[in-house]
Amino acid sequence: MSRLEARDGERIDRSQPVSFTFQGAAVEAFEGDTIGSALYAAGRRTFSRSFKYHRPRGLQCCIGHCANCQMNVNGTPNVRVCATPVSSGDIVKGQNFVGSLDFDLMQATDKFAGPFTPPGFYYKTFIRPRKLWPLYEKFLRNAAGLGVLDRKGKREARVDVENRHVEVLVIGGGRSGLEAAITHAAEGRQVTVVDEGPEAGGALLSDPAGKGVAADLRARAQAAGVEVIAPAIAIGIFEYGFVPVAVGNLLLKFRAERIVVAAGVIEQPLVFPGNDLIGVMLPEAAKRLVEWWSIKPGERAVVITADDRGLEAAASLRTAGVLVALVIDLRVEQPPNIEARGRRGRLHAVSVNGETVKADLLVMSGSPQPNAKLLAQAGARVVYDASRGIFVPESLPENVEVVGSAAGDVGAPAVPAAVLGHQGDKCFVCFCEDQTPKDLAYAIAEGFDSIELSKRYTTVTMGPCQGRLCSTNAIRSYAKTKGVDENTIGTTTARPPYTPVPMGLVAGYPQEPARRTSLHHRHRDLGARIMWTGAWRRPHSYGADAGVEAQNVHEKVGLIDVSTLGKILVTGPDAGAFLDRVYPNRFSDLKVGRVRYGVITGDAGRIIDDGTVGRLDDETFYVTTSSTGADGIYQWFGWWNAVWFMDVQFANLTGALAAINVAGPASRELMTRLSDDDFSNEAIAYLDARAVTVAGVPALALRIGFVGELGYELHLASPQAVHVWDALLKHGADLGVAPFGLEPQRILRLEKGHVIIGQDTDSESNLHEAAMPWLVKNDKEFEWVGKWATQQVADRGLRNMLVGFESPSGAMPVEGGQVVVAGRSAGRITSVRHSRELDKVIGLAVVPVALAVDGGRFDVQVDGRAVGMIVRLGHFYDPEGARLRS
Amino acid sequence: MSALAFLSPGAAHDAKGFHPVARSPLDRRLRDAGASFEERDGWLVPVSVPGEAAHLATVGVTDLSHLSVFEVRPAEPTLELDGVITHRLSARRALVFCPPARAAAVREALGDRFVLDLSGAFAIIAFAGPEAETVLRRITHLHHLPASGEIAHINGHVLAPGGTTWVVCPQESGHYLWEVILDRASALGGGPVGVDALARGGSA
Ligand code: FES
Repeated sequence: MSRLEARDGERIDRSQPVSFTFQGAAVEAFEGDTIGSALYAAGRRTFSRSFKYHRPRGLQCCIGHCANCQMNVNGTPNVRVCATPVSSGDIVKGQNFVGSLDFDLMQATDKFAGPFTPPGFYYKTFIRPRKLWPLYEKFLRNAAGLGVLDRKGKREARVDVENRHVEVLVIGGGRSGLEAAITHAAEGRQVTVVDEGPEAGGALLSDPAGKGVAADLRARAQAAGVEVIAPAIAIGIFEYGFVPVAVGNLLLKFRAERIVVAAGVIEQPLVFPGNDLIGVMLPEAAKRLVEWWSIKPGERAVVITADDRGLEAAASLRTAGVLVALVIDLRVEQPPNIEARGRRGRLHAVSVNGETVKADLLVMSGSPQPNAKLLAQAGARVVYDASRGIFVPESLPENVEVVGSAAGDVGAPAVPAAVLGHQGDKCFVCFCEDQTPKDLAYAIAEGFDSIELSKRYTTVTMGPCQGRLCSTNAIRSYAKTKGVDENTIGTTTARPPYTPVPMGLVAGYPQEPARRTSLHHRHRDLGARIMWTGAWRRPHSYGADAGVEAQNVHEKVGLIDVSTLGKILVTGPDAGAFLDRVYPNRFSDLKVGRVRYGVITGDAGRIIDDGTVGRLDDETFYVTTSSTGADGIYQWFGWWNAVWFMDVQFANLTGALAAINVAGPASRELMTRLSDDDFSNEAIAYLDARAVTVAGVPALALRIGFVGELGYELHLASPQAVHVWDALLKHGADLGVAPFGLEPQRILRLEKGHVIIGQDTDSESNLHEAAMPWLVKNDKEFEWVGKWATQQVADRGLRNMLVGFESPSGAMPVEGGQVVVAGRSAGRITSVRHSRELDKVIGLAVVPVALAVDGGRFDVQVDGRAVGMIVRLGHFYDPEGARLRS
Repeated sequence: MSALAFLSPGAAHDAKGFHPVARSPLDRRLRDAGASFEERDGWLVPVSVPGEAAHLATVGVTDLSHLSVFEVRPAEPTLELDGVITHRLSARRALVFCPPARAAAVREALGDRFVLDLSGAFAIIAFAGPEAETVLRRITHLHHLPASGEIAHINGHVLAPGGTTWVVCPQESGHYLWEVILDRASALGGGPVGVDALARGGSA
């Protein structure tokens, strides 16, 4: 155990023991420990294995910035245990090893593979034979990597997303962040501070003299009305002051009028041989181990520092009884040769210019970098200050300010050499990706001579630290190798997230904005199989055989919920004239109480939707659209009237109204049982629209026949739909009434050769080649939308045609299957079904216009062989429409 | 009968032995929650739900979809009538909400402007309680109320009458939004309540 006697200001509560398991063995901890501190206190020094060479790695930063302490916690890989509070019962495991964390067989790659694994080796070494690549890939992925996701794992933790609006958001709750917050609050602004530490205070919290200062600042902030949230990680800064902040399983989406970045500094490693050995750490790590968790980090320490941080760490270590054997202040001297030596991956000595000092702890501090990552993401420029070896943010975006050390207020640190030692073990620029100065020089020699290219080729700065600990050293290394300055090399693009966060948090809570009709639960009660159609949930069918449901419509009476149809009211003195302009055919001459079919084309003459138009009175038309077309057509009408300024109003009534199609030979009888209105052929003829009352509910009855039988499409207020549906089923029971779903409807409409827009047409379809030239009325007073383009099609001559076909052999082609003529692809099948009524396989297909004659022949590939189909023009079922008009 | 009578749920009447009763799009959700219903002004209304007192201690959610809603064009002049809430969408359009019992009087008061009875068009989900604001923040960025815009990926309106929050969305999205709101509310200890409990719980 390395735990010290109780110390003033420690963060652990020794009266609250907590226990968890690591690799199956119990570990005792205290409330206030992190998993990392508890493991360290229990004697664990190897926390992870490196990405490529499987070198053992230990705690390096203790602040959640590096990749060294990533473990699997309760099934979640890549958890930084140094910053994860311990919870009773946690199950913690190491990751990325073969054997054990302490004896990883894959470490052989460090001993033997080094010369064979330069950057990009897998592009060069594993390319032959080509077909073995999947095997190589599997091997490489297993050998490298960052933990393993449980493929069968389910999302267990709940995540929430919450929107917040503030006047000032301060990112970073250290001294300067809290002071800025207090100032803004004193000026009357609403202020929130987010800090990634366990509480606000930043670097003050690991400074014995600073803890009181931090407490005082927090108290002043609270008194000023500042909201402080910690731990809370700002993931990025986006346009318009949008800052997502991760607070455990809650994602706060801040929209701030002003953003103050007070993110402090990122401590930097130095580059020398053995700089990744266990026991080599950054100053804050050493300080936190002592000051937060009362742990003695080692017995003998060496400190090499470019600023006061190392000296402060040395002071802390001394109070913990650590012998500080050597302190090298790089501001005073820069030894040309530093080397850390290890045994089994653990530091045991430090050699400075050939003089060896025994040590199990080495605190290294390069020039502390202002934490400007978020600012760079937001668009600030980051400029190198050669005198201090730091990158400083400049040219901040509007409404963003930076304060404290993040602004470059870090004193005058020494500028360390790019590499401080040249003999001994490997020295690392990028710990996450195991990249050395040699690797970077190799990449430059291969032509990857910009830092952005190097990032992609060597993956330097692309690991879990997100460039925090390697960006400056990589740039320095590049500058030295190329003989230019750091500003010439430049920085890599900063991208969110600033700190890795679980994808589940960014994705938010799973939600599917399904639309359901007012009859949805009646369909479920009736055993319907529900399917998606666009955003809607609709019944596919109610039984195992859709053909039976279709037959019931032919023989008795069926009900289908067509509430999803778009329903638009078009009203006003110019309503008829308006419709004449948006439809190819004419509506101004439609008689009150009549219905007409219409297709809408875009400017380019392509078909975009279809439906019916009924005239309710002189100035009022009731337009239906396809189920997916409602919103688009409503907007389409509005856009065009913004051009024409006609005296007409539109209202989208899609949700307000339910629609039930009652179809089949017994439908008239059923209607008369529910209504006192006259449903005779004389009173409501085919293509009539009538106001009726059904089961006490006012409805608009449209006598139309998409499914090819006598039928009434009832449009009524949605809240009354269940009542009417139930009444229809109850009072039609002896007539054989039964609901039918979309699948039987598709069979029925195909028997009539009725087109479904989007299924039988595509984005190129026009009225002529979709076999609807009868809709084109070029004698209208005004240009209708798409007229010119439609005329172009007629003028250039038709190439394809939508036709009906039947399959004489009974073979069923697939929808989308290729039409083959003389061995060449010449069209496609758009719809196909088996009709029980006709006992045939029938369908619609786009074929070359030469074949668009009754009896025309073409082949379709079915199960790999060409099968002949025969073109049939006209309706397959009831070609004269006698049943519709009956 | 007007050409648009089929649009009004309130135009239904007893006929040929039928007794039409209007149902909210959320009827099934409240039923699943064990709600007791009463017929009020032609609607089945969820008046109480088991556990509603406990839910209201954090956030209680109910269904006010039975309210009458008119779309009126132009928006001005605004009706200043007790119990009538006007949500102005633009200079040209407003939504007017009122209890169904007052629908005829309100319609009359709207005069000869272009008025559509959209009482069947919306789901109105209302919630109140100490965590109501948290629920709202977890479904939408809208915060200066009343407002219209995106709510949990669909378009809708948020109103704040008398200490309650109303989320108004197309009725066909009602189930979805009810699921979302209930999910957020239950994570905070809340849940469904009847309309009477909400009326007592909110200051309305
Ligand atoms: S030691 Fe945990 S992230 Fe660096």
